[in-house]
Amino acid sequence: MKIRIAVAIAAGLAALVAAPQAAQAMPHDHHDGIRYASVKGCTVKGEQRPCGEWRLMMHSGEKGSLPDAETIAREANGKSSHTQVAPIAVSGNGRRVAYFTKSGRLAVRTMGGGVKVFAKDALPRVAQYDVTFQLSDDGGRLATVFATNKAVKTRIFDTATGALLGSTPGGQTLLGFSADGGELLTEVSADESVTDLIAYSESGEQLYRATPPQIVAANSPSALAADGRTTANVVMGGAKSQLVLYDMQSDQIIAKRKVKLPAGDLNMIDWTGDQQVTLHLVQYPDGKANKMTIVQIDTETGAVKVRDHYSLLKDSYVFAACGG
Amino acid sequence: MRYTSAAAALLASAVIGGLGITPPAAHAQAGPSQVRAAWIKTCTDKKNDTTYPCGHWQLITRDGGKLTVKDASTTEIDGKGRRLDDAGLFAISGDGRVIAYERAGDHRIVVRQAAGGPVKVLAASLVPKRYGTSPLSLHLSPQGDRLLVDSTDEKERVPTKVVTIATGKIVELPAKDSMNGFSTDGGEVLAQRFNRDNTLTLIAYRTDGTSVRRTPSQVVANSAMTALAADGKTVAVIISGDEEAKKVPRLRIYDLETGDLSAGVDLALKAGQTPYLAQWSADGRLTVLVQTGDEGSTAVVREFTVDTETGAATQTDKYSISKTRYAFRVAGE
Repeated sequence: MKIRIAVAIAAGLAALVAAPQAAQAMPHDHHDGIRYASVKGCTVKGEQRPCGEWRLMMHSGEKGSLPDAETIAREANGKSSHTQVAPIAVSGNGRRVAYFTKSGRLAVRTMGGGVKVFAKDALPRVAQYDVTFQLSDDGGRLATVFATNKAVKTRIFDTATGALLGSTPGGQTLLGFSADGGELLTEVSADESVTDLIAYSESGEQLYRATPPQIVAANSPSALAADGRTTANVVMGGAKSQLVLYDMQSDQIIAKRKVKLPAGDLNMIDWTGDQQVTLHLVQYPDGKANKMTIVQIDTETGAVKVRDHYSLLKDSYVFAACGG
Repeated sequence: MRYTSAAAALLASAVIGGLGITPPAAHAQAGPSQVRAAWIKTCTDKKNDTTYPCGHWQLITRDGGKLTVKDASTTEIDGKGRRLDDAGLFAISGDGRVIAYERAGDHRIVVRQAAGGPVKVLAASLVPKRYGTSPLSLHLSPQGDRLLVDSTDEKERVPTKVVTIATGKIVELPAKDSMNGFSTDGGEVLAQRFNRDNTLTLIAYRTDGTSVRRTPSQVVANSAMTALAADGKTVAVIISGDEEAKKVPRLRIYDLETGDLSAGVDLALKAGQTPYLAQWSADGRLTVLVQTGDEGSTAVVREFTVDTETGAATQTDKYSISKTRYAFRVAGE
């Protein structure tokens, strides 16, 4: 789940908390989950900055908020950065959201459930705008990535207990969790001017490292399947778009599927089933609200099905959509 | 490439003959007739603090001498004939014996012996009327018998042209390809194509119109440069060094026909010495050029012969180019 500076969203957590959803049998029952989180922007003393609370836009159309969440990032010393947006992430299934509380603690809130506030020292003391969160599809795992000048290890947490499960090397780009949350995929610049993909277990053990073919490396990002070794990436090319499946263990392209995609730039790619990859496609029409289209691709056939589409709140300054 | 033996001198004569232009007898031997590089001076417009090329193209000869190419255009022109602030087209063959350039006055492309003598004026059609010489670049084959006229016009309208100088025959190559250079014997042109799926394909075009192509692995696609051997399939792949990571440049050998890629060797150069030109010699050795000196300081060019098995590098030449340069071109570039 990535924060995209450009657009935004808002949602009402309070509303969510008030109306817990009973039916949770389906892992991808998006109807009671968050579509995206958004914060408004305004101009203060000539500078653009986030204003107001994080808004949570739900699949049901309801709108909640996250009153306990920080929207303006704090510096490492705890002072406000005034203009930078604090990080936020929504799990793939839209049921959990990770953020910094107003008191500067890391928190993961479950829709219709409670909030897990992490230990004070869960994260190193760095500026909040140098921190990125990524939740697994079910929100059970959280990765915290640090974009500080000095490489700091990425930390992986169990969001139910707050326990630190492991860490992966800093200085790499975290692409995301595998479909079941058991592994992570990173991308790193390696020797000889190439880009490598690395799969780690949630405890930080390196499982596979590969220098993929051009068609994978040149069409980033890739997403990791539940098996922890198969990646998917998309070549965005209008009518010539294709889904590429790659096996990190054997260093082989497994399949290329022609896919017919609706308009939009690739915002996110995630595995959401053993034979399903979900894409978030975003459009930025001039003067209008940004549009998101979410499609599910059958990895066996290349068939594309639109799962959801919506217009983002027009006053969004920054938004974070659910991944799955 | 240097010709030191009698046989080589004969070969040189043959090449000159092949060029179809009459060399002045006094310059038909090795020595002052070979040039290492050409450069053109920079001037500053004090009003808006911009620089532009000025004066004449100067040749730096193998024996350290200087020659002026008075009829070479200082600048390029656009489609309306207006002079631009880019240096005029210029190229030197790999052996340093032949030069090609944009002629002052009519901006036609001409070729002649580096040492002097009459020019051979090439077809007017080599310069697209729509763009002038501005999108073009010239590359001479190692022996100076063929000229590549590459175009980087944004709309990819202008095909690359390969001119056989003795006959004037022109072969067109796809406009969307970018040209890496000739093979050692001038028999093929190595090109690369950026595909719609964001990958890069290497293509060797042969004179008979056929080609060999392959989409290589990342390490080849992301390399600093490639050079095609006389066999038309063996590619030297130079991988950039990384000063920050203290990694020296590396060499791998890629076979364009089979896709085989060697494990590679570290080159016995410094991390900051990534070669900017590589050429196979006729006897299968690899020559690389390393340049130091940024704009405004003296450029130093070092030539090394590289052992492709071990990466050992032996310096075989070194020369400098004035800090007052606006642009320079080395032999074989």
